[in-house]
Amino acid sequence: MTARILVADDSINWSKPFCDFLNQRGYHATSVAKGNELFTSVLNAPHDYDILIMDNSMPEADGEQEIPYCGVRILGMLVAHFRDHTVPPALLDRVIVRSIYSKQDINSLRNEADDLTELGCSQVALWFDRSIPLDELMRAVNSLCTPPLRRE
Amino acid sequence: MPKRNSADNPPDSPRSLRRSNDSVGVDQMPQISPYLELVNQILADVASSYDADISTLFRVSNDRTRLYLEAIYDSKGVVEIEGTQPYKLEWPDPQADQRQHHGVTCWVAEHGEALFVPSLNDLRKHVAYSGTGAWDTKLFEEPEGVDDPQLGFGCFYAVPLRTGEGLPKDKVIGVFKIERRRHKPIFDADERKAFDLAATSISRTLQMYLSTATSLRRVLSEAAHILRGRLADSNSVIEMCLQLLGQGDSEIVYAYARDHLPRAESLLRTGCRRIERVLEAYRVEQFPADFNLEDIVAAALEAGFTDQNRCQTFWEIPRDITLRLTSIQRYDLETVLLNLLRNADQHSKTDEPVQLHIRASESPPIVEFEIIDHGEGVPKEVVERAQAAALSGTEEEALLVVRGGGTGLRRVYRFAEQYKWDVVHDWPQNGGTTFIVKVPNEEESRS
Repeated sequence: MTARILVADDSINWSKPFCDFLNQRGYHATSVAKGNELFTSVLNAPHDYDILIMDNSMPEADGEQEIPYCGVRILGMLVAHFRDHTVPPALLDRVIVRSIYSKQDINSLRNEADDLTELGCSQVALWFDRSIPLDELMRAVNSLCTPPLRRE
Repeated sequence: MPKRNSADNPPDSPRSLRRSNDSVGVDQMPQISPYLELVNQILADVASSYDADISTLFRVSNDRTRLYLEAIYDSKGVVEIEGTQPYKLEWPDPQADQRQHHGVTCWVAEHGEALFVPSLNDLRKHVAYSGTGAWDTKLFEEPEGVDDPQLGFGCFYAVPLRTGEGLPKDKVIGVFKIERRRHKPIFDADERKAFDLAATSISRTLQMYLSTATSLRRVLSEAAHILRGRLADSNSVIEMCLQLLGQGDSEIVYAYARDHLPRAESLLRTGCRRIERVLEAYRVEQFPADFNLEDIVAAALEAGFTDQNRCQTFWEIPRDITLRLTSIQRYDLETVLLNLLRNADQHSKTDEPVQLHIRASESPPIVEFEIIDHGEGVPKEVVERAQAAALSGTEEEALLVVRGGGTGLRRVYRFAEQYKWDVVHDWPQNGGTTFIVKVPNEEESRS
């Protein structure tokens, strides 16, 4: 079964080539560039994706207030939204988060990721380096596809 | 400036002897930075003009006739400058009724006023020595203490190094100080005047040093942030190409490379350009130099537009005109221009290019950059928020936390505030936004 991957990253310099690469490798990948696009994509089609690969620092704004670390926060909002659903979106259980921030931010991100795990995201992989070797990233993607994906 | 006749000082006078010794030391001083070289030059010039014993800075150690920069601060702590004796000053609580001083240098820094102490008795009675601890008592102990009948304390003169008017805590960055033993001549009026003048000039130099040091930290931090992303992204694309190459389907690899390698190459090229500029900013030549305006504009255009046809450039002055800036200012001017150009591009219609006009005025001498877009224009609230954030100094955090939402514009206003450049904006009735950046290019600003 072809894994459907949603790539959420504000850097189209990376997300577009990466999606094309995934598609060439037999996955079905699509990308979004903003936090609100990620949110609405999953909200509108919760079962269209199996895996989420996201950048933690996508531009997003909530009125006057900018939301720092919005990637993980939006993930938290999605988890909260689908908490009472009998069949939550599969991608909320298979998440790879990339972040390039400093140690202080990493600690904060780690805490938020722990909260997500408690909320029910059983597989949240955090990467604190944008320059993840491609092999490692693909191993992480493959491991999220094992055991084989099942869809409702 | 008064210049004394050398006949006033016979060859064997103490003043002449000191100057003879000094001339050896100047050449032996380590060349630490252009700032300290300039400090030395200031001292030498003032000493020469006033015939003052002022060029003993950093050198006379056994003799108690000495002059040194004793405390250098910035808002975050001590700034270490080799050859000086820095230590942190605990600024007094303004609410406290009484303050225990820890020596004359601290007193001078805290009060922001020059202090002349003509004798040991005056020193003992000075409020700066009230309530001090055991370390101070030792100063008076024989045989090396200041009570020594021959070599003990003679007189003392300390001048605060100020970066401007205002509270000492905000404006005093150090103390410029001389102490003399009893067998040395006391300061005369001219020499004290010379010290005041030297201290003022050195204040200005150190202010430039502090400003540059702060800017360099910022430039490196920003470059690290941007470069990490660019280099990682371009590296990823190359990795993906190689992986696909391993699959052996040449058509797929070719199509992929055709679609993505040019952008990766562009990221690498602009990344390398940025590295070059950061390295240039870190070079020793931190004093203002003449930079070619065309180079600055070209760099901003290259970084601001993927497709440079999106911008029409109108040169209303000769292209070879130069702007006198420090390398950091040049770097920041490029950043200002590219942020305004990117903003204009973002808010322009796709079929209408952004316009950049470059012009100059002679009186006052100003170089002006006008950036015009004919699209929906930058929203007023974004401009207002950017201005407010730049003035309140909160934009640094925002820069590190999240991109987008007017961050570039904040940096524009922040640099304008820092360098006293003028940024004017307008929303013409026929649509779009106009930004004008005015950069002084006059002799006064060149010093």
